[in-house]
Amino acid sequence: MDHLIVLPLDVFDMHSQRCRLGPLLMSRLGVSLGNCVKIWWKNQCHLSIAWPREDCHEKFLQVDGFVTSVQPDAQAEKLNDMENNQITVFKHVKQFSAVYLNVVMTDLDFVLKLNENPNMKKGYLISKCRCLLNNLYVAANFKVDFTEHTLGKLYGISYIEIATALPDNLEVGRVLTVTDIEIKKVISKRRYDYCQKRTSDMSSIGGLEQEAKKLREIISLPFQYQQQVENVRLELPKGVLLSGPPGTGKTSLVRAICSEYAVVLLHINGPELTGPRPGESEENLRKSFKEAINLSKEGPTVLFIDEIDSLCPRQSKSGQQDGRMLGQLLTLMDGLQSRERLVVLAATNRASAVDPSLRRSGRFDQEFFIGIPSESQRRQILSVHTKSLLLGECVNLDRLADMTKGYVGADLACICNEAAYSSMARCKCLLKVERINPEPVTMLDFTTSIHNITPSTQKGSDILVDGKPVLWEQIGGLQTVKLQLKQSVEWPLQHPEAFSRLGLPLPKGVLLYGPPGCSKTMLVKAAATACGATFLSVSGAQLYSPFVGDSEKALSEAFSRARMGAPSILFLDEIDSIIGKRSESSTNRSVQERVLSVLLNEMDGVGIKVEEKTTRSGGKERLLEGVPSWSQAEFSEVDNSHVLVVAATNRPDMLDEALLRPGRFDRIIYVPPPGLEAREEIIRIHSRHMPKTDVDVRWLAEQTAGFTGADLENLCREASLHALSERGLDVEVITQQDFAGVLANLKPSVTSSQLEQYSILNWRTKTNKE
Amino acid sequence: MQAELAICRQLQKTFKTIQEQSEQWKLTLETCQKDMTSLENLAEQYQCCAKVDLLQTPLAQSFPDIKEKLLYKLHDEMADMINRLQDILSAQNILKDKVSHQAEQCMDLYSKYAGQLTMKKMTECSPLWPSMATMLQWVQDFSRLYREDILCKQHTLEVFSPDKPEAVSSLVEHWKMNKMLQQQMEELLPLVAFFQQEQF
Repeated sequence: MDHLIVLPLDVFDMHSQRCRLGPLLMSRLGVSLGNCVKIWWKNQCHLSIAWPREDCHEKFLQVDGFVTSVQPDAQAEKLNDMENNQITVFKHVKQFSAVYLNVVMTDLDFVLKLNENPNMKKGYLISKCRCLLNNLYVAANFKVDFTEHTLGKLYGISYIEIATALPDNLEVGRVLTVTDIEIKKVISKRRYDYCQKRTSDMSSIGGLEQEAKKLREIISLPFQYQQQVENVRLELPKGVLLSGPPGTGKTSLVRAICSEYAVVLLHINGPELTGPRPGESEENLRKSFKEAINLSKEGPTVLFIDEIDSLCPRQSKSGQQDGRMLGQLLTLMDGLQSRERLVVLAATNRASAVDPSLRRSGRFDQEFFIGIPSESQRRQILSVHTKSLLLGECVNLDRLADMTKGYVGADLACICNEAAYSSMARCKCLLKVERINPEPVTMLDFTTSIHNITPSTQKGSDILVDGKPVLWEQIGGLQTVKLQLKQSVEWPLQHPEAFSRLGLPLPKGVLLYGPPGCSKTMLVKAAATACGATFLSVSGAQLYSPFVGDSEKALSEAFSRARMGAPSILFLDEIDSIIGKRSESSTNRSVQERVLSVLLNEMDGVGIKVEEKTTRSGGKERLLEGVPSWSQAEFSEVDNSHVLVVAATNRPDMLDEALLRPGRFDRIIYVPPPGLEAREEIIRIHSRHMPKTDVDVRWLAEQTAGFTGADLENLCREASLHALSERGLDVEVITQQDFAGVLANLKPSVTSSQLEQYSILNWRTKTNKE
Repeated sequence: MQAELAICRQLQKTFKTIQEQSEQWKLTLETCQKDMTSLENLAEQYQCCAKVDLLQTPLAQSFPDIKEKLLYKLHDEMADMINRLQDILSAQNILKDKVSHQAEQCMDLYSKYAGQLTMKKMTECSPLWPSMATMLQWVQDFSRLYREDILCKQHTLEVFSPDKPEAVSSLVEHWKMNKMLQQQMEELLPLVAFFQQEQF
């Protein structure tokens, strides 16, 4: 079997329906000059006339797409290499007695004219088609491409499809003067191209079934039941607004549904419309609408305006922007007749930024919100994207869906790509040969790519923290605090179903307080590492700005991001410095007080913005496990609690009382300075990597009463420095003397009077709770 | 051998017809260029005349219906010209049929003897002659291009209307010698000059 190289035709062979073969190959196939051959190549089946190559080379085959099969040929689907057996010969081809054609015309107006006027369709078009098809070898379900043909261009005919050909038993035939020609359908090139291009369908969209169903009804009803709709004089929806965070699949959904119903999708991009001259943008918009209306006369059409917020921004009260574009769009939308079978779809990721006049009924009648995918939706999206990948056995999509909290569809697609790339890179390193055997994508590839890719909802914010993971074991002592923290942070985020089963409300906030240096921050880090939630950290530097209202906005944005990436932990370190206490004496309200009010509202407010709502059907299901159905309503607000605010402070007395009440920071945990056992453990942890001889850790722990974790770390550091300075740079071990020498000079950083204050507070919070 | 001779004889005959016919076609088109210029001119006059408001001119006082008359005159003139071009085309059409008939005969003759002629024989060429396959291809190409050329011109005549500038310009444009056809004539016909002189 010979491997042939396929080349395009030479210029002078264009539109002659010839294909060029090597003469030896021709004699081997038993073809003589001018015989008809069928060639399967790259998804398509070509009909050509065999002709020898002038240079008599055997290695090449020249063929073009002049006469090809309409549908991608199943037989030729995977044939990217050309072999001899992909060529079939037809000798002594007879003519067809009649052919029925679908004609694709370049000019839409002409198509409309022809469809209105059947006589013209018959006479004019048939004679033209006869001229074009004369002497060609064709077959049923084949099309002839006249887009580059001189005569075809002149006639305005782009393609001719042979729908049926008589007699039936003839597989391939010629069109001669005796052949009868009938026109079945005339379509415009635009529509035809669109219908051919239909690549994506609903199978490429995961987790949006509900939205798709609603959208499908709106798009397909007017086209499928046109008569019935007219009979009941039903006003059909003219427009639908899709909103949701970027990357959730608004545009893909529209594309998929349109291609499912062979609806022509006219895509308008906001920036493409705007022109430099005054009035140009409006004119472009008018043109687009006119085109859409024209296309809709021929068949179902959807006009899709992407990023409509940039096109028609909400008019500010000051009236700075001129609303001419908006005015034009309103006029055009109002001017649409429902019989015009045109549906206008718009997508935005900031629905609130779209002018409200557009969103009233009669313009964009319906609004769909596509939120951040829930776990089950993510599972579906992942399964769509990994369909074409070769997955290793270790890949568990359920676990991946669980790991990708806060990721949208686009992010998930990116993760799958990245994972595939890394697996490919691995086999390239492994084999160092050109032809790579595909290696399955492993779970490790996925987890690394998840770490590399930030969810797009969290991008652009400076509060996302990706710190070094800290394990519980790295913190010495504090067993009770650890347990409390696990209860209040880890459990609600990891086992919400258990909480709801017992009717336990999820905590909203956890406050850690205690003297400085007692590893409050470390504890939070460990908790975040353990539960694997999105970890956001807000500090005073990010919050405060010289502009009025900016700080409040920054905090509220931090909360909205946390909600988008839920479940998440929002960490406010040194909360006393960020948010002050409302003082009764001073009348002027400081920034800190305003920030405080934002925090109070965000933690325990009336509700959240509609835009930030997430479609968490899956999450809800999980929460409701074992819960009787009547209590569903109670748990509908459960989403909000996925954001856990954790704050740390060493001045709890500086905090506002309103913050400390249950419902805001409902767990208040005192982190005491370490006791004897804890100190011993801390010293062990810090001196883990130090070479030491006969150091009595127990004795050290006894000697360091009142020392905090930070003090103990310092002690270890100082001891090793002491050893270096006393016994030269080549010292190998640290001895008990080093520790003892340093210990004499060190004092605990927290005095006992300070500690007493904390314990008073500790007692107070306890009594408060009681 | 007999098969080869028969085909060669037929090819010779066809090339002869092509030669004669193409020269004549070239000449005809050259003479048509003059008509084209005047047709273009007339169409422009017609368009201008249709646009101008003649009632405002002093002419209208003495000849109130001058616009209609002028337009009619121009239209008439152009119709005459179009008719003349139509006649030229129909004469060409007859010639075209002759060429295509001969080209078809070449192919028919070949398919009749296809069994006797090996592919090697068909693709064999000498310094003096192109191979038979190539010559057959040229004959086919010529017949096809010639036919398309005439259909193009026919179409431009059909859609011609003096008040549509694009139809007029398309007509003028297409009533030149087709580039591909010209190339065929000028480049390929000399290559068969020795073949034509051969006695079979």
